[in-house]
Amino acid sequence: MVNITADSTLPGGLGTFGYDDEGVKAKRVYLIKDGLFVGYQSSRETALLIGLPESSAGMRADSPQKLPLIRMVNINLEPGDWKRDELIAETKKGILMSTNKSWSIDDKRLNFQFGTEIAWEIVNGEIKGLIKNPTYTGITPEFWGSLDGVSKDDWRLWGTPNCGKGQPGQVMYTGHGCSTARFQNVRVGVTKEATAANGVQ
Amino acid sequence: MVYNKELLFEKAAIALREADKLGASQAEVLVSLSEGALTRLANSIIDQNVAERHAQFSIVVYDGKKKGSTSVEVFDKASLQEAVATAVKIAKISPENKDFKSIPGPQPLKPIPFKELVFKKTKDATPEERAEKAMLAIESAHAIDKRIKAVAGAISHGFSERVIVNSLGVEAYAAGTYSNINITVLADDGTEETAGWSADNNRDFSKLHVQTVAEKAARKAADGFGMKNIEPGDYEVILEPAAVAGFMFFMSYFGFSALMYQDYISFIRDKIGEKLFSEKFTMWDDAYDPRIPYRTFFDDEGQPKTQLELVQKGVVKNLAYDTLTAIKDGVTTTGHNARFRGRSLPIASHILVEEGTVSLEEMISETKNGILVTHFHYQNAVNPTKGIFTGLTRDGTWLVKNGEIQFPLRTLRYTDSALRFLRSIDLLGKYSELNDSQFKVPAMKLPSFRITGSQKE
Repeated sequence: MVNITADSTLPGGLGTFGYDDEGVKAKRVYLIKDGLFVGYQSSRETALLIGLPESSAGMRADSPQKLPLIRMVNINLEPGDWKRDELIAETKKGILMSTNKSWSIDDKRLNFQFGTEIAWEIVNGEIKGLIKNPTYTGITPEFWGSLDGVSKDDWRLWGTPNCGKGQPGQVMYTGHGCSTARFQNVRVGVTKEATAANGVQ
Repeated sequence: MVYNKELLFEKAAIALREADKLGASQAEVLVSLSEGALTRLANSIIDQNVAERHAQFSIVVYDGKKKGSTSVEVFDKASLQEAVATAVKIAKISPENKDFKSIPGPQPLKPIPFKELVFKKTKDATPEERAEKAMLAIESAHAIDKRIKAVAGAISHGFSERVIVNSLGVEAYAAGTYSNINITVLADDGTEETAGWSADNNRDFSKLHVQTVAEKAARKAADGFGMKNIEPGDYEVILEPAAVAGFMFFMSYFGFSALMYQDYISFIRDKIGEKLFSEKFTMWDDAYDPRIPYRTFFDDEGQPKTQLELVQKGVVKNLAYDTLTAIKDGVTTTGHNARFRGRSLPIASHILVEEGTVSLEEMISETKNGILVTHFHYQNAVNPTKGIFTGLTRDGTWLVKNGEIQFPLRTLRYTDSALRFLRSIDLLGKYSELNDSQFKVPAMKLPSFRITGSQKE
């Protein structure tokens, strides 16, 4: 069910361009297809080193003075075959979260934690009360392995204007296309533990 | 040494005249020249050498309470005038900021002598000298243990000059050099890969502790074999200075910036004067303190830096102000304006935390069930209004039981409120000889720290 692409051809994307900074024409490549890891983002040099036929067109520099780096273009979770309302209607006990406001992941990109602006409780397929300061956390392959539904009707190409990478640092525009998706058995609510003990808050 | 003070003031004057001519009510100009070079290591070889030179010009103009700004990297008169004209156009179509009253007027500066800020050995450092330091780092690290597999990191240095002037008469000029080494060492015994890290900063390139940094990082990697995971929960924690510095940045940014306070984001909102932290916790900001690696004497509005008490024996004392936030609160700027990540806001960025007398070994011997942390990766605020932060351990973390190090740990995630975990401090260490961050902070032992995630692999 997990299909993730690196696609620098999408109209209007923050990670969209004609050619990357090695002169490779923008393209769409699969990183994960039908749940299987199938490819890396690459440069002309690293594509050769890892046995890919050609670069994924992932090299970008944030100014002419900087060396291009392999970095995110538009990295997308491809649409699934659910309707957003069906995902909610078929959820017995869950949380619907919206809009990340806090993010953190370890150097191996395994242990992640996000906080979102807002969330709602879902009980027996219906949206109930508001949940403040929601968070979710997990281990990357376990989390993506638990995906069991992706919406097809609210896919949108989002993005961020300030993805940081490299030393000396470079800041770049990146796109993230996605729609509502459902994951099972996700750990939520770690901030409660941060404030509950010792009666401080 | 050749300085470009007159040139920079001349460029700034062109901009101020143009802003006046185009009808701007007030204008503020920053002009800088900078150069920097970096040698990168990977797999125990030099794999990259880069050098950059910049001529940067940015102007902020006001049309009453409306603000426009542009930043460019050109220095010719016509381009500067065009940049000013663009800023004026932007101001005209921007919404009013009702809080804005005025840019600051000139205040007497207390300059730090150039000989303490600019080092010729840094400015004139060559790729060959960086290569010598790289070789020393690589050889020193590999000499520590046969299992050392790769030395990575970067050695960099640079020099910059800047002027800040405004239409009310502010005229500030400063110059300074910097240098940095940061080293990550990987070790491999055929079954497991481990990592260690260390760093140093100094305005004087010749004073970087290259060997100490490399050996420290290598020892951490060599001591990292046999990693296990532990269950999330409440642990005592020993934070080395780099780990403490990571927290203090977030404490300063989200807690003690007057902008965050005024926007109801700060976790000390309505708590100034209250005792929120351990009596052992005293934190202040002092850009003049010689123990801070990158001292300076004015902020990004050209206002004199002031020494600012933030926490005194656990009691919250003051906020860091710039002109905009100070006028809103009816006080005077403390000289902490910074242009940071596209914003202009007050930040205390020369933090010191009062040191103690306890060595790291003594802290370990005083720990019943705790973890020892080298530094944190990817920290972020989860809920800044409650002071809740998160982050991950990296490059050397160990379990300590009954006064002894037991075994190294795989990556741990903490999610905890500074209002909780800094309420009680057991022990404070001495300042390190290394400037592994831009702050001067000691190691700390805390009785309670909340681990919320633990990696099994």
